Amino acid sequence: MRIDAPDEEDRVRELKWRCAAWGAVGACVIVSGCAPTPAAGTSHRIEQSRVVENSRIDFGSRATHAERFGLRGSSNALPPVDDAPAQQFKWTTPKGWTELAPATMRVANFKPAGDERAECYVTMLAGDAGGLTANINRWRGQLSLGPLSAAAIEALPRATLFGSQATLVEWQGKWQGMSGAEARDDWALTGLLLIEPAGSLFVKMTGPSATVAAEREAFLAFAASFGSGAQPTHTSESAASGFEFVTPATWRRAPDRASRALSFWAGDGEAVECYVTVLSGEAGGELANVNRWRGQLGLAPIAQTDLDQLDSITLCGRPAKIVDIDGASGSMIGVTCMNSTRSVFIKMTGPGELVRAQRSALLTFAASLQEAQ
Amino acid sequence: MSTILRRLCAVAIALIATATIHASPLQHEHREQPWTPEILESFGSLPIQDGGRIKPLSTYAGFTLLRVSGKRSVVSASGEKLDPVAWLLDVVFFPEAAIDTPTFLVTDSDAIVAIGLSTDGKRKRDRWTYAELQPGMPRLFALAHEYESIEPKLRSSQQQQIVDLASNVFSFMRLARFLDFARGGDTKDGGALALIPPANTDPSVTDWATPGDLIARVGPKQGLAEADSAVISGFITLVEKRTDPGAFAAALASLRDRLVARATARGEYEHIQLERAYYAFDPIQWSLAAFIAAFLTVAVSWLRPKSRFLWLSNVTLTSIATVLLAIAITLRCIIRGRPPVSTLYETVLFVTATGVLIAVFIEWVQRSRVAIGTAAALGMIGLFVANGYETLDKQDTMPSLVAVLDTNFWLATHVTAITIGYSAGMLAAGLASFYLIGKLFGWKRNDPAARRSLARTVYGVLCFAVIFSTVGTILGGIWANESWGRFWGWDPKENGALLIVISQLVILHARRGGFLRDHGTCAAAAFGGTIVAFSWWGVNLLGVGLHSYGFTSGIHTSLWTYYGVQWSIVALGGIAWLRERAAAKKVPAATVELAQQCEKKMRAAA
Amino acid sequence: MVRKIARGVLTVASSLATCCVLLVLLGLLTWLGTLEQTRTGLFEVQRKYFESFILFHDFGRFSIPLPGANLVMCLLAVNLAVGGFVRIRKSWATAGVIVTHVGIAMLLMSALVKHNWSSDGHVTLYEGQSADHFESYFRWELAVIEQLDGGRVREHLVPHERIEEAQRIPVSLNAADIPFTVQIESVSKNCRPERAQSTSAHGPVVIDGVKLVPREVDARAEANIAGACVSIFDEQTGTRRRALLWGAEAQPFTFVAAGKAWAVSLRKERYAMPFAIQLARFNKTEHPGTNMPRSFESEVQVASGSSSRDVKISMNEPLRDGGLVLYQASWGPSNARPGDRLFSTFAVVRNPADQWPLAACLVIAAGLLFHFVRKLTRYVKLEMRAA
Repeated sequence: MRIDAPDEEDRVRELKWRCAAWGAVGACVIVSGCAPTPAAGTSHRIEQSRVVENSRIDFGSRATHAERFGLRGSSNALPPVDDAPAQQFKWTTPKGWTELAPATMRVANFKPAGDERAECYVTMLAGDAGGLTANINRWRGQLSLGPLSAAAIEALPRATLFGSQATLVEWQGKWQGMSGAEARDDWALTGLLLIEPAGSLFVKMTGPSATVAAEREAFLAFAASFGSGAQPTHTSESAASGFEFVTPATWRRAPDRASRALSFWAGDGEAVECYVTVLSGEAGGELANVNRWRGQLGLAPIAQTDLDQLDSITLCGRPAKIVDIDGASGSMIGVTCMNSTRSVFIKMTGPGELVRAQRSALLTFAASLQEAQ
Repeated sequence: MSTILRRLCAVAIALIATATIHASPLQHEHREQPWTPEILESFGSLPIQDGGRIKPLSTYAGFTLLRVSGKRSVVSASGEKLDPVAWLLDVVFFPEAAIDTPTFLVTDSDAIVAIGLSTDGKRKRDRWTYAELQPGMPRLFALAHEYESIEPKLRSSQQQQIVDLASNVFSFMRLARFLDFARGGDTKDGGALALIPPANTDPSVTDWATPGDLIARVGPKQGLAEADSAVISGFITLVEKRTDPGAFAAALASLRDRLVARATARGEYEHIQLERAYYAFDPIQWSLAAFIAAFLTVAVSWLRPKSRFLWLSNVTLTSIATVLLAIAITLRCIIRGRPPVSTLYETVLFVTATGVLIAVFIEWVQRSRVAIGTAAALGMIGLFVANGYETLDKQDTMPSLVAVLDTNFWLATHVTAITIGYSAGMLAAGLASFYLIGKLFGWKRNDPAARRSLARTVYGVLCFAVIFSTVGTILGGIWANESWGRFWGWDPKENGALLIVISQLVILHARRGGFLRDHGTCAAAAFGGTIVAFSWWGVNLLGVGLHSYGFTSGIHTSLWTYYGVQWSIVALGGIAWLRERAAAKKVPAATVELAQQCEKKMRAAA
Repeated sequence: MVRKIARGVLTVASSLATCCVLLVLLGLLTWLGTLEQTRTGLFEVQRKYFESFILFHDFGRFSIPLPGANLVMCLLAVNLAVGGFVRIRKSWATAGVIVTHVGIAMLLMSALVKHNWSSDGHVTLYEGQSADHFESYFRWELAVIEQLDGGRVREHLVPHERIEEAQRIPVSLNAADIPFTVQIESVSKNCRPERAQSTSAHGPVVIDGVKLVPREVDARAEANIAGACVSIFDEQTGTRRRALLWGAEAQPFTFVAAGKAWAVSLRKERYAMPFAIQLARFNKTEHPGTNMPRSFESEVQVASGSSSRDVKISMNEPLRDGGLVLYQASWGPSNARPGDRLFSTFAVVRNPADQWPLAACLVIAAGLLFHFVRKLTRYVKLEMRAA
């Protein structure tokens, strides 16, 4: 407000020059911006370089892309070896279905043919998961349908799943989803429930009614193909007499299963399960197996360097890694011992607190485990 | 948090499967008389380690009962009203009777239907007994387990209720089974109450033990240490003597003395009595009562504006209330060893206290009876909010702090400054609202000087606010730079603080530039109150689903009510302004005269 | 005429009205940006609202152009400089205000310096490990690495901007001491490798039975893993190699050219530190009986040249050395039990304006207090007289 006149003149002159200069800059920018760029791309010199000591790069490795990116297995046509369920279960993926990575709670996960929104997955839960009626009505709730009477449930048809006769449900309704947030009309659910006191298996396909109807046969074929993926030839023999060991005081033998050399319940009840699995060969490698387990508990994979940090103990006369995994849905402690001919895994799973309480018992057991001569 | 809960659910499922609360060898002995005051005192003053700090068992019982039943007392099946300590005594010592006390608050009976129970004879919002819920528990825990995996923000109200109910039932179960070891039952889960301080005074041993922990420590070769075994047998005696009030009281007192002696030796009993006194005296409720009384006198004084008696009693009551509030805040500082504000609950107390103090100061300066009235209203509303928050949150209001907050320097500087900023902003909004409404209803129609003085006060409070908001916000940035290496990250809480600063700066600059005069300043300040509320509460709710219930929806409703009220006041202020303009057109001479008068007064003042 | 215009410009630039409009705009942007964060991530919002010169905000169906916070703050700086201390009346009455304005200007300056001349990243160390560089959170670089003798390598580095450019058009890169040309054919901001048989017409390039499948760009910038398809053209032999590079690859792509071993790698930008830091121990404590963290603390050794010293870095207590600040940011593994080997992550910031805000804050506080106390005494006098 109180600017002296000569001063102001100077300022104005300066301002004029500035305006002109900025104008010119602006024009240049606009012109350069409009200039056509060569379609072949641009070319630059690399200006920055530096010398680094103690590089850990292995220049001699002729690693393939798949190895560099941590993809295992031989080809996409077969389920990859490191895929979670591949060790536990096997199945035939129907034509047109896309196999997705197993997610938390989902041991197998697919996108059926036909519609992007359709999905199909297999869930396995310990125990009877609340029973058949509760689960059926829970599913009906997701489709905005009322509960079924006991008689109606009794009358539901059956289909093959995991070599047993499972309850088959096929309904249509207004989809509410798990959280009620994804309402969709004209939706269908086709599912199989196999409920046993020891464990329950669910296969569930949801999607637009037309898609679900079209994929019904594929669904049933898939369910029929779904079975245990273990190789009984190697393990059945040892399951009977393959090992010598000391059973910890609080453990009980659990019924033998096809895929397991030995099964235990650790502590009271059946909340914590511990079992020994033997596989021929490297079974996909240590890292892949550990990451598969982490995946089952909803955790991100770790790197080989992380694996190398883990403690080890002696298992069957060979060094073995102790893997502790605390996931959202429970905890797992694994002891893995691999070589090129034979891999031994001990795995204990259950609720976090209970599993941790059994950790020392597990390590004692592992130390006592010997392959019978 | 949710992971822990999910694990708890898994444990709970196992618990239900293995045993029920009935499985006690001393079945169905009922308590004959109410708990004596002596027993309540001994039990309530036991120290317990919970949530990372040592507190009186009475505090623990209060918040646990609040969480489970939504209030701080329950009525037993026999019609006896139980305070938290009595309730806890019942649950621990007479679980087979406590399972018939309607304790579990279910706000919407749909949750009961979902777990497969009949709601016959119960209201939609009602309290349920453990025994009534028991048949639905497997389903309750299965569902809770499932819903836990849904992110809390995405859960429906019913899902959240199921999760909360499961968590409450689980807490109850652990309390009821707390003394199972003494009843000859399972010893493994004696885990609910960490009542036993370490026997040594080594500060590196920080964890207190439950009786179950002590028993679990017993190896096959060595037994319990003598001191520990005395504690364990103390608990066993309590269980044996539970039906004999005299013997029970004696055994409880002796156990209490033993435990208190241990805690005292470790220097961990220092503030327990003080905290007992704080909750027993409850200065906040008394302060609230005084504020309400003060507000009532204000209301009466509207009818008799000239009464000096009313003004005096108003000033006295407000001062008493302020002093009580100050005592409450000071006691909390001593108990926690922290500066006055470190949790959201404490911001409410502190904002109220500083706001009222500023208003009292203004009243002392100008004696207009407006500021003191606003002080009473502000104090009353503030303490209602504090109580409401405590009831909705249901968590100990003196919690331990996470690592990044564990710094008294930044809590004392940044947090205190920003909270004073909130407080001044709210007070300015309150005074400005009075100005706008007053104008609409013709307050001091013939005394423009009084109106001007009020507007000037609003401006003054805003100036005060801007100092603390600005400095507080920048200090927040500096703190962030000290802990994370970035001064400003545009995160919602930071933006909220910035919004307050900007809104206040706009008002000050616009007033300076003459774009806002008295009326405009007041309207802007009244609107500014909603910006403070947005920054203080609103940003915490961003991104939270609308179908939530309880805590979030409670805050949501209050917040939007406040927004609505303030915006209506601003709108009413707009009407008043338009009316004034219209009147000015009709009688221009009067306006000119008024303006001249004002100018004269201003000159005289300057 | 010119004088008149200039005076007009000056008046507008320095006016309180401009100031108010700009402040309201800044407030509006802050508010919109805050709400927008509930839909998109912080990083995107920051770019769109706060680091931009212009933006289009979607109000329902309408897109409304708004000036970005960057522009608003530049204009505010001008307004502040011209109106707040050049043209403001200078007297005791305005002294406090002027001082406050100086403080605000200091704050804006430190923001400018931080924005243009700082770098940040992190370094993660297991107990016992050491490092002399830190890594960016989200800036990528392409390293062309030449094997030298004795475990040494020479890295030729292509900065983030070139990789961004390659998202639009292929970028060819060469240097005098590199016997081949590297062309970045395509870049994906976020992708994952998958096995594949052969390249389909529209799908991503398949090399060696593997393709990089693009994914939706994650709102959290640090969660994206970039990938690139590069071709390496050796002019002497006329051979062309193609390779996929992926940000999380276990090993770089290696090959031999002109008798030397080479590697190409896509990785986060690395910055050298003027010292080496070794993690001796990481300590964490919880509040007793809970999982609530009470404190995190890393005991580290800082070595530069031949000297080394022991330092503790904890929450709220960073290490300041050699123009860098190291903060305790994170730790793991999360499921570690007592006795396990832990790692600690430090956020590293190089910011020339690190401590400026503190000075600015003191200046502002002083200015405001001076001004307010003057006003308050006047107000009290006035009101007391009136009462």
